[in-house]
Amino acid sequence: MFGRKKRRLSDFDSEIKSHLDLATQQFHEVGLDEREAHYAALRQFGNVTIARERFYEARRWRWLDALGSELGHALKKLIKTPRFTLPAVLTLALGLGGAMTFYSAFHSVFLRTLPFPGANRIYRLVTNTPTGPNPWPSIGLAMELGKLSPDVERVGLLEGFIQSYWILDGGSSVPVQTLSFDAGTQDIAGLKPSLGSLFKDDAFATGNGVILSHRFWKSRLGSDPTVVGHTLNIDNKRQPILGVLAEGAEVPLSPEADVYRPIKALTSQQEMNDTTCTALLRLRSGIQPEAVLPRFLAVAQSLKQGLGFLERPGLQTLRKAMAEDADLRFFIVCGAAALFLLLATANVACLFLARAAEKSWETSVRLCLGAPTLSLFRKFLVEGLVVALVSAGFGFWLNMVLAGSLRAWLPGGETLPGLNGTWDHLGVALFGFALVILITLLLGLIPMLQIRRLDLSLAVQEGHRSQSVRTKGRTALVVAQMTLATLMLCATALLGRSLWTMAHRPLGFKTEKLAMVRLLYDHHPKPGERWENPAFLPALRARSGIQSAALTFGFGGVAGMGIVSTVGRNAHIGEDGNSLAKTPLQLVGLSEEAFGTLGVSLIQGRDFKAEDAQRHVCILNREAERLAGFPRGKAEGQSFLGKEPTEIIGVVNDFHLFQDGGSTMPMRFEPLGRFRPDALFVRSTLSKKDLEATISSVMRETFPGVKPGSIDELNEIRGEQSLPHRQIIAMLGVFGGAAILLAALGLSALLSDSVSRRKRELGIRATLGATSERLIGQVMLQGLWRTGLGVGLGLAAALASGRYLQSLLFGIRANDPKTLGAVASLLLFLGLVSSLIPALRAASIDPAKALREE
Amino acid sequence: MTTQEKERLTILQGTLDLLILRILILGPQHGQGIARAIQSQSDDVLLVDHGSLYPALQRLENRGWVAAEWGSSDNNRKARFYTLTKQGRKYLAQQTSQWRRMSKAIGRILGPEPAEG
Repeated sequence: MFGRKKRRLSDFDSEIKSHLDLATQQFHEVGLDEREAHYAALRQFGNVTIARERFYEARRWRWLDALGSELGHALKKLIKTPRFTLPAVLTLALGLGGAMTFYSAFHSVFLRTLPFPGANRIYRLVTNTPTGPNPWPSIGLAMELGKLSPDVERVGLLEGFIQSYWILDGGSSVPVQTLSFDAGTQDIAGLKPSLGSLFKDDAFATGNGVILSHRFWKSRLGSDPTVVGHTLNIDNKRQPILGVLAEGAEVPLSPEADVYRPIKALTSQQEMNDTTCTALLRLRSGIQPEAVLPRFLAVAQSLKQGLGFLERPGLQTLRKAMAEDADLRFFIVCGAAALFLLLATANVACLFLARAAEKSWETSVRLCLGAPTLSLFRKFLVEGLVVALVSAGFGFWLNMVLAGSLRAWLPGGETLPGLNGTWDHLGVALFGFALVILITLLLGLIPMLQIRRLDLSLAVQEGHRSQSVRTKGRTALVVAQMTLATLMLCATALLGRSLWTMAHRPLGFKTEKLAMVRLLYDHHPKPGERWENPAFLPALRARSGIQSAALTFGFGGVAGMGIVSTVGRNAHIGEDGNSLAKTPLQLVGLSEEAFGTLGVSLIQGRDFKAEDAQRHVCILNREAERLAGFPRGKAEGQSFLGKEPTEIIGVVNDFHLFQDGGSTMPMRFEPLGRFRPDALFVRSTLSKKDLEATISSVMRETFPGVKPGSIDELNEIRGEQSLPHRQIIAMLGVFGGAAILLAALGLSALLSDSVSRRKRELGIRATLGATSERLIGQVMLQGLWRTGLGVGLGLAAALASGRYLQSLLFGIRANDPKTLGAVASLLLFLGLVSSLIPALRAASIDPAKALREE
Repeated sequence: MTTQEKERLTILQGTLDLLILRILILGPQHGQGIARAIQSQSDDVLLVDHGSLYPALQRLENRGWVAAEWGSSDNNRKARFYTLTKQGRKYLAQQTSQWRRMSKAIGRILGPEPAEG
């Protein structure tokens, strides 16, 4: 019995022994001697072995035994038919592996418990702008809310996940990812050190010191326990190591960095208003976010004076913020994988159905001989289970390999959800198991439905050539596969074209021989420090091989390849009757001759000159001009009104230095002076090495305290930046290709099966004078209407999901008739090709032979 | 083989369970005791095959109709004692009435017993 402790055979044996002892004693009492009494007892009992056997059988779980033998049988059968098993297992494994990877990504963003104290009270502060929420509010707003609003328990600031350089003693530099946060974030994240301490007040006051991530400490410093107190040269500045974070420590909204740095507390209100960053708010418990927004708005109103415009505060839950930050690329590929799982299941179900149809004679005989339907169902279920389990094991392995290689393969892979160490083996296994059960049920149920419709007497009479099995189920599955393949291919083609357009759009500047050099400073900027340097650029330009050079500040992407820095100084223009007032512009500082160096063409006005450093002038790009509502060609000579009127001296064409997204940022360029340059752009004929030597020597003479960091040629960066796009297209292509292959094979198998079962009918037709063209046409038509139906449904699904797809597309509409038409034609063509072989077989049927076979 | 032994009957299939339960109504008993009780109460007509007795007891225990516990017998020997459970009692009542109806029906078909001699 279930739940009851099973009795041991030894206990049964001792009961028999006690029985024999009792009986012996009784025989002894009636006069037999000891030995005779014992034998008499044994005789009376009969065969002890049989009794033991019966006990053993009664004790066992019969159904478990039956299941065991069924499993063994199914396994043997599947091994014996590799032509059926191999495609089924491979197809399912691919689908299951993809689905599991999708699950782990989904889990890390939406399902797991976030490891922060009071995680459900933590929000990201955003500001609502006409173009949507802006995730980088000014520090001034965040701090003011923390100070004035009683609803806020703690405010935390976070500055970008950026690439820095760890300069080794030999002088070579190693790129490391750094993340900076303030005391509030340290508290909100609930960080704990495994060695040393966290940042203390003096670190936040000076901005000095670093904390290492556990992974970095383990992999790069060999888990050195004496590391605290030593220094690390980060970006040309020696920083004391204060501690090592606990293993798996996490900062909200940030991937695991190598090195953590403190955000230096800002003291001047003006600086806080000018600086933006990611801000976290932890509300007091019991406070509803909707209730606090009006109170937040009141605080923002009071700040308007200092800022010059109103920042409308909004709140995003941590999960929503995570979902927004999650890399779309990954979800696209995972979505394709999940869709592929559906298709794979349909395909394998088709294989199962075909097998069930092949065996319908055997099944009918079994049923006629009285086999219970339930046992047949069990047989199918077990077969499905074996295939699903083997596939799941294979898929699980595939998923691990896939996740690992994706992490290494995709640039910034370690920042992708599901790959960034928040990996949940148990969850993935459970999810996989749930899928296995579902698929098993499906694979077991489908042949059962067919059996229920089986006309036994007919099936048995007709023998192996039974036509009584209907192919409706398989037809539906083949149509479903075509639908899914169409949907996948449409999405792939649209995304592919969109990514291609994005990767090949005109950049608006000349990349040839242009290099970008990151500048590394050995000290922090002092408040109010000016950054004019009249000596450096002329000295550099005077060197041989240097054609032109310019210093810049604030280009997104300068912080690291492909990773947009989340910190930037965004200028907002006063609310003075100008629509630009409500639109944040990316503020970029440029030295003289910057546009000339970059090769960006001016539409109006002039480039910056050296003397502009002291003046209030700016240049806009086309996008900013458009957003500001200036009629085209009328911006030059106009001024922005603010504390100081700023004259617009020119307008430049839009250009994309870094391909960080589809849209063009509105930009306002100002002369360097109050901005510390962070990059140097040089157009030269020198090699990288010579260039570095030249720049270093000029910097030593004219730019003290600065060293050149990495030197990247813009051509290379461009190639690197389009790499992820090419990878996505490649991955989608693989899935899409596999999908149409499966769908085509499914169709071909179905038609071929139908031809062999209709051999006799086709033979009679041929005898009665049907030409082979007619027979070919008939079979092709069968294939065509199935393909057509599938493609039609797929197109409808693609159009219906266009609204969701559109947000991922750049430069192409989701209902682009050319793309959809091309996909539809391709699939119809493939449908025709895959019907061709069965059609030719139908035509080659020898009527006499076909009729004789009956 | 004595005449008495020849006249002994092997128990009909399916009735052993019923007999065991009936014996246990008198109180806990071990396997040997049950076999002896069946034999003596049937005036030595019914012979219990000991080889079937224990698997049958195990079956009844599995179904929850009897419960078993090790104890010591009258002459201080270790033995496994079986007790009728509440479920077993219910099953016994049900089966007894069924058996009575059945034997009556069979009796009617076979007709009255012929006079002995």
